[in-house]
Amino acid sequence: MSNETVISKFAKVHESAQIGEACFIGDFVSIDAGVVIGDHTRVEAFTHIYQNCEVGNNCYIGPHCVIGTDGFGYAQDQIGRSHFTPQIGIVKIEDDVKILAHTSIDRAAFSSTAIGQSSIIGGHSHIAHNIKIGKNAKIWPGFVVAGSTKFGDNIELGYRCNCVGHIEVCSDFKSESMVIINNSVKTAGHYAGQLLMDKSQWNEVAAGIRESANWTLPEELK
Amino acid sequence: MILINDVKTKLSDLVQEVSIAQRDSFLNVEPISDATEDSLVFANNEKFLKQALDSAAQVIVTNIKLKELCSESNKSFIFANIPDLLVTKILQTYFYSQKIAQQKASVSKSANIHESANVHESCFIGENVVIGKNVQIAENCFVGANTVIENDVQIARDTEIHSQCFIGQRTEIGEACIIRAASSIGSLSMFHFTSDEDGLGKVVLKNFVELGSQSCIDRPTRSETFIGESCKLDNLVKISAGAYLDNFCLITAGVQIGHNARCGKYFTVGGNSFIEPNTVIADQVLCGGMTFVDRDITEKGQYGGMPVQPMKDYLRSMVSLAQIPKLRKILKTNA
Repeated sequence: MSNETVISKFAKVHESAQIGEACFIGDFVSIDAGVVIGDHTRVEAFTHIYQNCEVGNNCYIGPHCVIGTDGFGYAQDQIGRSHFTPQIGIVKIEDDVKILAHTSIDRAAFSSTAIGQSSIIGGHSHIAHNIKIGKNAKIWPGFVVAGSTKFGDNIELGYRCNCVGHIEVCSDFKSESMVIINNSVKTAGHYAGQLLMDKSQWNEVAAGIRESANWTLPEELK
Repeated sequence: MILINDVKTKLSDLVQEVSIAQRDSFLNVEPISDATEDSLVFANNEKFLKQALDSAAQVIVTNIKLKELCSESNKSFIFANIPDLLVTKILQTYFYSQKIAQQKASVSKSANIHESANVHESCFIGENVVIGKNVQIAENCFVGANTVIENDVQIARDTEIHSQCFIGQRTEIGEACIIRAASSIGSLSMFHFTSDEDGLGKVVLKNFVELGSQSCIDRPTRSETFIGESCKLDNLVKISAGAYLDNFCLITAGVQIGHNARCGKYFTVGGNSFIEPNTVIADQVLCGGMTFVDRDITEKGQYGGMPVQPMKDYLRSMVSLAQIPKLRKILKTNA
Protein backbone atom coordinates (compact mmCIF):
# COMPACT_ATOMS: atom_id res chain seq x y z
CA MET A 1 0.00 0.00 0.00
CA SER A 2 1.25 3.46 -0.86
CA ASN A 3 2.21 5.73 1.99
CA GLU A 4 1.22 8.78 0.01
CA THR A 5 -1.73 10.77 1.26
CA VAL A 6 -4.14 11.92 -1.43
CA ILE A 7 -5.84 15.27 -0.89
CA SER A 8 -8.32 16.46 -3.48
CA LYS A 9 -7.48 19.79 -5.08
CA PHE A 10 -10.95 21.00 -4.11
CA ALA A 11 -10.46 20.17 -0.43
CA LYS A 12 -9.62 22.95 2.00
CA VAL A 13 -7.10 21.79 4.60
CA HIS A 14 -5.78 24.34 7.10
CA GLU A 15 -2.01 24.63 7.16
CA SER A 16 -1.85 23.71 10.86
CA ALA A 17 -3.85 20.49 10.41
CA GLN A 18 -1.85 17.24 10.63
CA ILE A 19 -2.78 14.50 8.17
CA GLY A 20 -1.17 11.07 8.63
CA GLU A 21 0.24 8.67 6.02
CA ALA A 22 -1.80 6.99 3.31
CA CYS A 23 -4.92 9.05 4.00
CA PHE A 24 -7.56 10.09 1.49
CA ILE A 25 -9.21 13.50 1.75
CA GLY A 26 -12.10 13.79 -0.71
CA ASP A 27 -13.50 16.64 -2.80
CA PHE A 28 -14.82 19.75 -1.04
CA VAL A 29 -13.77 18.52 2.39
CA SER A 30 -13.03 21.27 4.91
CA ILE A 31 -10.48 20.57 7.61
CA ASP A 32 -9.97 23.36 10.11
CA ALA A 33 -6.97 24.49 12.13
CA GLY A 34 -5.37 22.10 14.58
CA VAL A 35 -7.16 18.98 13.35
CA VAL A 36 -5.16 15.76 13.72
CA ILE A 37 -5.93 12.80 11.44
CA GLY A 38 -4.13 9.49 11.88
CA ASP A 39 -2.74 7.12 9.23
CA HIS A 40 -4.82 5.24 6.64
CA THR A 41 -7.92 7.31 7.36
CA ARG A 42 -10.43 8.17 4.64
CA VAL A 43 -12.50 11.36 4.74
CA GLU A 44 -15.17 11.40 2.05
CA ALA A 45 -16.47 14.37 0.05
CA PHE A 46 -18.26 17.38 1.59
CA THR A 47 -17.29 16.50 5.15
CA HIS A 48 -16.31 19.28 7.53
CA ILE A 49 -14.00 18.65 10.48
CA TYR A 50 -13.92 21.64 12.83
CA GLN A 51 -10.87 22.97 14.67
CA ASN A 52 -8.72 20.86 17.02
CA CYS A 53 -10.67 17.62 16.56
CA GLU A 54 -8.75 14.33 16.54
CA VAL A 55 -9.38 11.35 14.27
CA GLY A 56 -7.42 8.12 14.82
CA ASN A 57 -5.85 5.61 12.43
CA ASN A 58 -7.80 3.49 9.93
CA CYS A 59 -10.97 5.52 10.33
CA TYR A 60 -13.66 6.15 7.72
CA ILE A 61 -15.63 9.41 7.78
CA GLY A 62 -18.47 9.25 5.26
CA PRO A 63 -19.65 12.01 2.92
CA HIS A 64 -21.46 15.08 4.32
CA CYS A 65 -20.44 14.38 7.93
CA VAL A 66 -19.85 17.26 10.31
CA ILE A 67 -17.38 16.54 13.09
CA GLY A 68 -16.86 19.02 15.91
CA THR A 69 -19.68 21.48 15.34
CA ASP A 70 -20.77 23.48 18.38
CA GLY A 71 -22.88 21.63 20.94
CA PHE A 72 -26.42 22.76 21.67
CA GLY A 73 -25.54 24.57 24.89
CA TYR A 74 -27.51 27.60 26.00
CA ALA A 75 -28.09 29.44 29.26
CA GLN A 76 -31.45 31.11 29.74
CA ASP A 77 -31.78 34.58 31.18
CA GLN A 78 -34.62 35.92 33.33
CA ILE A 79 -37.01 36.38 30.43
CA GLY A 80 -36.20 33.05 28.80
CA ARG A 81 -33.90 34.19 26.04
CA SER A 82 -31.19 31.67 25.16
CA HIS A 83 -27.53 32.69 25.26
CA PHE A 84 -25.08 30.45 23.49
CA THR A 85 -22.43 28.91 25.72
CA PRO A 86 -19.25 28.65 23.64
CA GLN A 87 -18.22 25.05 23.21
CA ILE A 88 -14.46 24.93 23.61
CA GLY A 89 -13.79 21.20 23.83
CA ILE A 90 -13.02 18.82 21.00
CA VAL A 91 -14.17 15.58 19.37
CA LYS A 92 -11.83 12.61 19.80
CA ILE A 93 -12.35 9.66 17.47
CA GLU A 94 -10.23 6.62 18.28
CA ASP A 95 -8.74 4.12 15.81
CA ASP A 96 -10.77 1.97 13.38
CA VAL A 97 -13.97 3.98 13.77
CA LYS A 98 -16.49 4.17 10.91
CA ILE A 99 -18.83 7.16 10.75
CA LEU A 100 -21.33 7.00 7.93
CA ALA A 101 -22.87 9.72 5.79
CA HIS A 102 -24.72 12.77 7.13
CA THR A 103 -23.75 12.17 10.74
CA SER A 104 -22.95 15.10 12.99
CA ILE A 105 -20.87 14.91 16.15
CA ASP A 106 -20.84 17.95 18.42
CA ARG A 107 -17.71 19.15 20.19
CA ALA A 108 -17.71 19.02 23.98
CA ALA A 109 -18.41 22.04 26.13
CA PHE A 110 -15.01 21.77 27.86
CA SER A 111 -13.27 18.42 27.47
CA SER A 112 -14.00 15.95 24.63
CA THR A 113 -16.79 14.07 22.92
CA ALA A 114 -15.28 10.60 22.54
CA ILE A 115 -16.01 7.74 20.13
CA GLY A 116 -14.32 4.51 21.22
CA GLN A 117 -12.12 2.21 19.16
CA SER A 118 -13.68 0.10 16.40
CA SER A 119 -17.11 1.71 16.74
CA ILE A 120 -19.49 2.11 13.81
CA ILE A 121 -22.03 4.93 13.72
CA GLY A 122 -24.76 4.77 11.09
CA GLY A 123 -25.80 7.64 8.86
CA HIS A 124 -28.08 10.54 9.82
CA SER A 125 -27.09 10.20 13.48
CA HIS A 126 -26.59 13.00 15.94
CA ILE A 127 -24.03 12.65 18.72
CA ALA A 128 -24.36 15.57 21.12
CA HIS A 129 -21.71 17.31 23.19
CA ASN A 130 -19.79 15.50 25.95
CA ILE A 131 -20.99 12.05 24.86
CA LYS A 132 -18.65 9.15 25.59
CA ILE A 133 -19.12 6.01 23.51
CA GLY A 134 -17.04 2.97 24.46
CA LYS A 135 -15.27 0.47 22.22
CA ASN A 136 -16.91 -1.67 19.54
CA ALA A 137 -20.21 0.20 19.54
CA LYS A 138 -22.55 -0.60 16.67
CA ILE A 139 -25.11 2.16 16.19
CA TRP A 140 -27.60 1.85 13.37
CA PRO A 141 -28.71 4.97 11.43
CA GLY A 142 -30.94 7.71 12.79
CA PHE A 143 -29.65 7.67 16.38
CA VAL A 144 -30.20 10.89 18.32
CA VAL A 145 -28.72 11.40 21.76
CA ALA A 146 -28.76 14.41 24.08
CA GLY A 147 -25.62 15.63 25.82
CA SER A 148 -23.32 14.16 28.49
CA THR A 149 -24.48 10.54 28.30
CA LYS A 150 -21.89 7.78 28.75
CA PHE A 151 -22.13 4.45 26.92
CA GLY A 152 -20.07 1.39 27.83
CA ASP A 153 -18.30 -0.98 25.45
CA ASN A 154 -19.89 -3.32 22.90
CA ILE A 155 -23.28 -1.61 22.76
CA GLU A 156 -25.62 -2.11 19.82
CA LEU A 157 -28.50 0.25 19.08
CA GLY A 158 -31.16 -0.37 16.42
CA TYR A 159 -32.46 2.09 13.85
CA ARG A 160 -33.68 5.54 14.94
CA CYS A 161 -33.14 5.14 18.67
CA ASN A 162 -33.43 8.12 20.99
CA CYS A 163 -31.53 8.70 24.20
CA VAL A 164 -31.90 11.39 26.86
CA GLY A 165 -28.91 13.23 28.30
CA HIS A 166 -26.88 12.88 31.50
CA ILE A 167 -27.35 9.13 31.98
CA GLU A 168 -25.09 6.07 31.86
CA VAL A 169 -25.68 3.00 29.73
CA CYS A 170 -23.72 -0.10 30.68
CA SER A 171 -21.52 -2.25 28.44
CA ASP A 172 -23.08 -5.01 26.31
CA PHE A 173 -26.38 -3.12 26.09
CA LYS A 174 -28.37 -4.06 23.01
CA SER A 175 -31.60 -2.51 21.79
CA GLU A 176 -34.13 -2.91 19.02
CA SER A 177 -35.05 -0.04 16.69
CA MET A 178 -37.10 3.01 17.78
CA VAL A 179 -36.20 2.59 21.44
CA ILE A 180 -36.27 5.55 23.82
CA ILE A 181 -33.52 5.23 26.43
CA ASN A 182 -34.88 7.51 29.13
CA ASN A 183 -33.04 6.21 32.22
CA SER A 184 -29.62 4.88 33.13
CA VAL A 185 -29.21 1.18 32.30
CA LYS A 186 -27.09 -0.87 34.69
CA THR A 187 -27.87 -4.40 33.51
CA ALA A 188 -26.63 -5.69 30.18
CA GLY A 189 -29.28 -7.27 27.98
CA HIS A 190 -31.48 -6.97 24.95
CA TYR A 191 -34.05 -4.17 25.28
CA ALA A 192 -36.96 -2.93 23.18
CA GLY A 193 -39.98 -0.60 23.15
CA GLN A 194 -40.75 2.87 24.35
CA LEU A 195 -40.56 1.75 27.98
CA LEU A 196 -37.13 0.22 27.50
CA MET A 197 -38.29 -3.23 28.56
CA ASP A 198 -36.52 -6.53 28.28
CA LYS A 199 -37.03 -7.81 24.72
CA SER A 200 -39.14 -10.81 25.78
CA GLN A 201 -41.40 -8.61 27.95
CA TRP A 202 -41.83 -6.13 25.11
CA ASN A 203 -42.80 -8.96 22.76
CA GLU A 204 -45.72 -9.72 25.08
CA VAL A 205 -46.76 -6.05 25.22
CA ALA A 206 -46.52 -5.77 21.43
CA ALA A 207 -48.57 -8.95 20.99
CA GLY A 208 -51.20 -7.52 23.34
CA ILE A 209 -51.36 -4.25 21.40
CA ARG A 210 -51.79 -6.12 18.12
CA GLU A 211 -54.53 -8.36 19.53
CA SER A 212 -56.32 -5.56 21.40
CA ALA A 213 -58.48 -4.63 18.41
CA ASN A 214 -60.19 -8.00 18.61
CA TRP A 215 -60.51 -8.19 22.37
CA THR A 216 -63.97 -8.76 23.78
CA LEU A 217 -63.98 -7.12 27.15
CA PRO A 218 -65.86 -8.79 30.02
CA GLU A 219 -69.03 -6.98 31.17
CA GLU A 220 -67.43 -5.51 34.30
CA LEU A 221 -64.74 -3.79 32.19
CA LYS A 222 -67.14 -2.31 29.65
CA MET B 1 -16.42 39.49 49.08
CA ILE B 2 -17.21 41.09 45.73
CA LEU B 3 -20.73 41.70 44.54
CA ILE B 4 -20.81 42.37 40.84
CA ASN B 5 -24.04 43.44 39.21
CA ASP B 6 -22.79 44.16 35.74
CA VAL B 7 -20.89 41.00 34.91
CA LYS B 8 -20.10 42.04 31.35
CA THR B 9 -18.07 45.08 32.23
CA LYS B 10 -16.47 44.26 35.55
CA LEU B 11 -15.82 40.57 35.50
CA SER B 12 -13.14 40.55 32.84
CA ASP B 13 -10.48 42.20 35.05
CA LEU B 14 -11.09 39.77 37.85
CA VAL B 15 -10.99 36.79 35.55
CA GLN B 16 -7.66 37.86 34.11
CA GLU B 17 -6.20 37.96 37.61
CA VAL B 18 -7.06 34.34 38.18
CA SER B 19 -5.78 33.39 34.72
CA ILE B 20 -8.86 31.54 33.62
CA ALA B 21 -8.55 32.82 30.09
CA GLN B 22 -6.04 30.12 29.22
CA ARG B 23 -7.61 27.68 26.81
CA ASP B 24 -5.58 24.75 28.18
CA SER B 25 -7.04 25.17 31.61
CA PHE B 26 -10.49 24.55 30.15
CA LEU B 27 -9.58 21.45 28.22
CA ASN B 28 -9.12 19.48 31.42
CA VAL B 29 -11.96 20.42 33.69
CA GLU B 30 -11.36 18.91 37.09
CA PRO B 31 -13.67 18.18 40.00
CA ILE B 32 -14.08 21.04 42.46
CA SER B 33 -12.05 19.18 45.07
CA ASP B 34 -8.99 19.38 42.78
CA ALA B 35 -9.19 23.16 42.35
CA THR B 36 -6.00 25.14 42.93
CA GLU B 37 -5.57 28.72 44.10
CA ASP B 38 -5.70 29.88 40.48
CA SER B 39 -9.00 28.19 39.74
CA LEU B 40 -12.28 29.95 39.30
CA VAL B 41 -14.94 27.61 40.65
CA PHE B 42 -18.57 27.58 39.50
CA ALA B 43 -20.89 26.28 42.17
CA ASN B 44 -24.53 26.59 41.21
CA ASN B 45 -26.01 24.59 44.10
CA GLU B 46 -25.44 24.05 47.81
CA LYS B 47 -23.59 20.76 47.41
CA PHE B 48 -21.03 22.21 45.00
CA LEU B 49 -20.69 25.37 47.06
CA LYS B 50 -19.71 23.36 50.14
CA GLN B 51 -17.09 21.52 48.10
CA ALA B 52 -15.84 24.85 46.74
CA LEU B 53 -15.54 26.34 50.22
CA ASP B 54 -13.40 23.36 51.27
CA SER B 55 -11.19 23.60 48.17
CA ALA B 56 -8.09 25.72 47.60
CA ALA B 57 -9.88 27.98 45.10
CA GLN B 58 -9.92 31.63 46.01
CA VAL B 59 -12.69 32.84 43.69
CA ILE B 60 -16.11 31.22 43.60
CA VAL B 61 -19.03 32.00 41.32
CA THR B 62 -22.33 31.04 42.88
CA ASN B 63 -26.01 31.73 43.13
CA ILE B 64 -27.05 34.82 45.03
CA LYS B 65 -29.55 32.71 46.97
CA LEU B 66 -26.61 30.94 48.62
CA LYS B 67 -25.03 34.17 49.85
CA GLU B 68 -25.59 33.34 53.52
CA LEU B 69 -23.48 30.21 53.29
CA CYS B 70 -20.54 32.32 52.19
CA SER B 71 -20.63 34.90 54.95
CA GLU B 72 -17.93 33.30 57.12
CA SER B 73 -15.48 32.54 54.34
CA ASN B 74 -12.40 34.61 53.46
CA LYS B 75 -12.62 33.69 49.78
CA SER B 76 -13.84 36.07 47.07
CA PHE B 77 -17.31 35.52 45.66
CA ILE B 78 -19.13 36.55 42.53
CA PHE B 79 -22.87 36.30 43.03
CA ALA B 80 -25.27 35.95 40.14
CA ASN B 81 -28.96 35.29 39.83
CA ILE B 82 -28.21 32.72 37.14
CA PRO B 83 -24.66 31.33 37.49
CA ASP B 84 -24.98 29.37 34.22
CA LEU B 85 -25.60 32.61 32.37
CA LEU B 86 -22.58 34.17 34.02
CA VAL B 87 -20.38 31.29 32.86
CA THR B 88 -21.78 31.70 29.38
CA LYS B 89 -20.91 35.39 29.38
CA ILE B 90 -17.35 34.67 30.53
CA LEU B 91 -16.87 32.08 27.81
CA GLN B 92 -18.37 34.38 25.21
CA THR B 93 -15.98 37.14 26.26
CA TYR B 94 -12.85 35.03 26.03
CA PHE B 95 -13.50 32.42 23.39
CA TYR B 96 -16.33 33.03 21.02
CA SER B 97 -15.39 36.58 20.14
CA GLN B 98 -11.82 35.43 19.52
CA LYS B 99 -13.02 32.74 17.14
CA ILE B 100 -14.76 35.26 14.92
CA ALA B 101 -11.89 37.72 15.16
CA GLN B 102 -9.41 35.10 13.94
CA GLN B 103 -10.80 35.32 10.43
CA LYS B 104 -9.38 38.32 8.64
CA ALA B 105 -11.53 40.00 6.04
CA SER B 106 -10.71 38.46 2.69
CA VAL B 107 -12.24 37.00 -0.43
CA SER B 108 -10.82 33.72 -1.70
CA LYS B 109 -9.53 33.69 -5.27
CA SER B 110 -11.57 30.60 -6.00
CA ALA B 111 -14.84 32.26 -4.88
CA ASN B 112 -17.27 33.07 -7.67
CA ILE B 113 -19.14 36.31 -6.90
CA HIS B 114 -21.64 37.82 -9.36
CA GLU B 115 -20.84 41.37 -10.37
CA SER B 116 -24.20 42.67 -9.14
CA ALA B 117 -23.69 41.22 -5.64
CA ASN B 118 -22.81 43.64 -2.87
CA VAL B 119 -20.42 42.06 -0.40
CA HIS B 120 -19.06 44.38 2.30
CA GLU B 121 -15.29 44.66 2.39
CA SER B 122 -15.12 43.49 6.02
CA CYS B 123 -16.51 40.03 5.16
CA PHE B 124 -14.64 36.75 4.91
CA ILE B 125 -15.54 34.69 1.85
CA GLY B 126 -14.01 31.20 1.74
CA GLU B 127 -12.84 28.90 -1.05
CA ASN B 128 -15.19 27.85 -3.85
CA VAL B 129 -18.04 29.99 -2.50
CA VAL B 130 -20.64 30.92 -5.12
CA ILE B 131 -22.60 34.14 -4.65
CA GLY B 132 -25.45 34.92 -7.08
CA LYS B 133 -27.11 38.03 -8.52
CA ASN B 134 -28.14 40.94 -6.29
CA VAL B 135 -26.99 39.28 -3.10
CA GLN B 136 -26.46 41.72 -0.24
CA ILE B 137 -23.99 40.77 2.50
CA ALA B 138 -23.47 43.33 5.29
CA GLU B 139 -20.48 44.00 7.56
CA ASN B 140 -18.41 41.37 9.37
CA CYS B 141 -20.08 38.33 7.87
CA PHE B 142 -18.30 35.01 7.50
CA VAL B 143 -19.04 32.61 4.63
CA GLY B 144 -17.25 29.26 4.85
CA ALA B 145 -15.82 27.21 1.99
CA ASN B 146 -18.01 25.59 -0.68
CA THR B 147 -21.14 27.46 0.34
CA VAL B 148 -23.61 28.47 -2.35
CA ILE B 149 -25.71 31.63 -1.97
CA GLU B 150 -28.38 32.04 -4.65
CA ASN B 151 -29.83 35.19 -6.17
CA ASP B 152 -31.46 38.02 -4.16
CA VAL B 153 -30.37 36.76 -0.76
CA GLN B 154 -29.97 39.36 1.99
CA ILE B 155 -27.64 38.73 4.91
CA ALA B 156 -27.39 41.24 7.76
CA ARG B 157 -24.25 42.06 9.72
CA ASP B 158 -22.19 39.72 11.95
CA THR B 159 -23.73 36.57 10.53
CA GLU B 160 -21.69 33.38 10.17
CA ILE B 161 -22.44 30.84 7.48
CA HIS B 162 -20.16 27.85 7.81
CA SER B 163 -18.92 25.60 5.01
CA GLN B 164 -20.97 23.42 2.63
CA CYS B 165 -24.18 25.41 3.19
CA PHE B 166 -26.86 26.24 0.64
CA ILE B 167 -28.82 29.50 0.88
CA GLY B 168 -31.72 29.54 -1.60
CA GLN B 169 -33.24 32.42 -3.54
CA ARG B 170 -34.69 35.45 -1.72
CA THR B 171 -33.71 34.20 1.75
CA GLU B 172 -33.43 36.94 4.37
CA ILE B 173 -31.04 36.33 7.26
CA GLY B 174 -30.95 38.72 10.22
CA GLU B 175 -28.09 40.02 12.33
CA ALA B 176 -25.67 37.80 14.23
CA CYS B 177 -27.14 34.53 13.01
CA ILE B 178 -25.06 31.34 12.88
CA ILE B 179 -25.70 28.76 10.17
CA ARG B 180 -23.54 25.71 10.83
CA ALA B 181 -21.96 23.40 8.28
CA ALA B 182 -23.91 21.56 5.60
CA SER B 183 -27.22 23.27 6.32
CA SER B 184 -29.71 24.16 3.64
CA ILE B 185 -31.97 27.21 3.85
CA GLY B 186 -34.49 28.03 1.17
CA SER B 187 -34.35 24.81 -0.79
CA LEU B 188 -37.49 23.94 -2.72
CA SER B 189 -40.40 22.39 -0.86
CA MET B 190 -42.37 19.37 -2.03
CA PHE B 191 -45.21 21.65 -3.16
CA HIS B 192 -43.06 23.07 -5.90
CA PHE B 193 -43.45 19.81 -7.72
CA THR B 194 -47.23 19.60 -7.30
CA SER B 195 -48.13 23.21 -8.10
CA ASP B 196 -48.00 25.14 -11.36
CA GLU B 197 -47.30 28.44 -9.62
CA ASP B 198 -43.93 30.02 -9.98
CA GLY B 199 -42.35 30.15 -6.55
CA LEU B 200 -42.23 33.58 -4.96
CA GLY B 201 -41.87 32.40 -1.40
CA LYS B 202 -38.88 32.91 0.82
CA VAL B 203 -37.33 31.98 4.13
CA VAL B 204 -36.92 34.66 6.78
CA LEU B 205 -34.54 34.25 9.71
CA LYS B 206 -34.74 37.06 12.26
CA ASN B 207 -31.81 38.27 14.38
CA PHE B 208 -29.73 35.91 16.56
CA VAL B 209 -31.09 32.71 15.04
CA GLU B 210 -28.73 29.72 15.27
CA LEU B 211 -29.03 26.68 13.08
CA GLY B 212 -27.16 23.41 13.70
CA SER B 213 -25.33 21.44 11.08
CA GLN B 214 -27.14 19.49 8.37
CA SER B 215 -30.44 21.18 9.11
CA CYS B 216 -32.90 22.14 6.41
CA ILE B 217 -35.44 24.96 6.16
CA ASP B 218 -37.69 24.76 3.09
CA ARG B 219 -38.92 27.64 0.96
CA PRO B 220 -42.68 27.73 0.30
CA THR B 221 -44.26 28.39 -3.08
CA ARG B 222 -45.88 31.57 -1.75
CA SER B 223 -45.59 33.44 1.58
CA GLU B 224 -42.65 32.65 3.82
CA THR B 225 -41.11 30.21 6.24
CA PHE B 226 -40.45 32.30 9.33
CA ILE B 227 -37.94 31.67 12.12
CA GLY B 228 -38.35 34.22 14.91
CA GLU B 229 -35.76 36.14 16.85
CA SER B 230 -33.31 34.20 18.98
CA CYS B 231 -34.63 30.78 17.95
CA LYS B 232 -32.03 28.04 18.36
CA LEU B 233 -32.18 24.96 16.15
CA ASP B 234 -29.97 21.92 16.66
CA ASN B 235 -28.46 19.54 14.11
CA LEU B 236 -30.51 17.54 11.58
CA VAL B 237 -33.63 19.64 12.09
CA LYS B 238 -36.14 19.88 9.25
CA ILE B 239 -38.51 22.86 9.00
CA SER B 240 -40.98 22.44 6.16
CA ALA B 241 -42.32 25.15 3.90
CA GLY B 242 -44.56 27.80 5.43
CA ALA B 243 -43.82 26.88 9.05
CA TYR B 244 -43.80 29.73 11.55
CA LEU B 245 -41.61 29.68 14.66
CA ASP B 246 -42.21 32.56 17.02
CA ASN B 247 -39.37 34.08 19.04
CA PHE B 248 -37.13 32.17 21.46
CA CYS B 249 -37.97 28.61 20.33
CA LEU B 250 -35.56 25.76 21.11
CA ILE B 251 -35.68 22.91 18.61
CA THR B 252 -33.38 19.98 19.38
CA ALA B 253 -31.77 17.44 17.07
CA GLY B 254 -33.75 15.38 14.59
CA VAL B 255 -37.01 17.31 14.98
CA GLN B 256 -39.21 17.64 11.91
CA ILE B 257 -41.84 20.39 11.69
CA GLY B 258 -44.50 19.93 9.02
CA HIS B 259 -45.62 22.58 6.54
CA ASN B 260 -47.58 25.59 7.77
CA ALA B 261 -47.28 24.54 11.43
CA ARG B 262 -47.23 27.50 13.84
CA CYS B 263 -45.18 27.28 17.02
CA GLY B 264 -45.67 29.89 19.74
CA LYS B 265 -43.05 31.76 21.73
CA TYR B 266 -40.63 29.75 23.88
CA PHE B 267 -41.68 26.45 22.26
CA THR B 268 -39.17 23.80 23.30
CA VAL B 269 -39.16 20.31 21.84
CA GLY B 270 -37.07 17.19 22.50
CA GLY B 271 -35.12 15.12 19.96
CA ASN B 272 -36.62 13.22 17.03
CA SER B 273 -40.10 14.71 17.57
CA PHE B 274 -42.50 15.40 14.73
CA ILE B 275 -44.99 18.25 14.42
CA GLU B 276 -47.85 17.45 12.05
CA PRO B 277 -48.48 20.00 9.25
CA ASN B 278 -50.93 22.85 9.94
CA THR B 279 -50.92 22.38 13.72
CA VAL B 280 -50.91 25.40 16.00
CA ILE B 281 -48.94 25.32 19.24
CA ALA B 282 -49.49 27.87 22.01
CA ASP B 283 -46.77 29.91 23.72
CA GLN B 284 -44.53 28.31 26.35
CA VAL B 285 -45.15 24.70 25.40
CA LEU B 286 -42.52 22.08 26.17
CA CYS B 287 -42.63 18.68 24.43
CA GLY B 288 -40.46 15.71 25.42
CA GLY B 289 -38.35 13.61 23.07
CA MET B 290 -39.98 11.60 20.26
CA THR B 291 -43.30 13.41 20.71
CA PHE B 292 -45.76 13.20 17.84
CA VAL B 293 -47.81 16.41 17.82
CA ASP B 294 -50.83 15.45 15.73
CA ARG B 295 -53.24 18.14 16.95
CA ASP B 296 -53.23 21.73 18.17
CA ILE B 297 -51.86 22.48 21.63
CA THR B 298 -53.85 25.37 23.02
CA GLU B 299 -52.51 25.70 26.55
CA LYS B 300 -48.99 26.16 27.84
CA GLY B 301 -47.42 23.26 29.73
CA GLN B 302 -45.45 20.06 29.31
CA TYR B 303 -46.47 17.44 26.79
CA GLY B 304 -45.18 14.14 25.44
CA GLY B 305 -46.10 10.85 23.79
CA MET B 306 -47.22 9.46 20.51
CA PRO B 307 -49.85 10.92 19.96
CA VAL B 308 -49.24 13.97 22.08
CA GLN B 309 -50.89 14.30 25.48
CA PRO B 310 -50.13 16.21 28.69
CA MET B 311 -46.91 14.91 30.23
CA LYS B 312 -48.61 13.52 33.35
CA ASP B 313 -51.10 11.53 31.26
CA TYR B 314 -48.31 10.33 28.99
CA LEU B 315 -46.28 8.97 31.88
CA ARG B 316 -49.40 7.32 33.32
CA SER B 317 -50.25 5.71 29.98
CA MET B 318 -46.68 4.44 29.65
CA VAL B 319 -47.05 2.67 32.97
CA SER B 320 -50.41 1.23 31.85
CA LEU B 321 -48.72 -0.12 28.73
CA ALA B 322 -46.71 -2.45 30.93
CA GLN B 323 -49.98 -3.95 32.22
CA ILE B 324 -51.08 -5.12 28.76
CA PRO B 325 -49.61 -8.66 29.07
CA LYS B 326 -51.49 -9.09 32.37
CA LEU B 327 -54.75 -7.90 30.79
CA ARG B 328 -54.14 -10.22 27.86
CA LYS B 329 -53.80 -13.19 30.19
CA ILE B 330 -57.02 -12.31 32.05
CA LEU B 331 -58.95 -11.99 28.81
CA LYS B 332 -57.60 -15.27 27.51
CA THR B 333 -58.53 -17.01 30.75
CA ASN B 334 -62.06 -15.55 30.62
CA ALA B 335 -62.43 -16.65 27.03
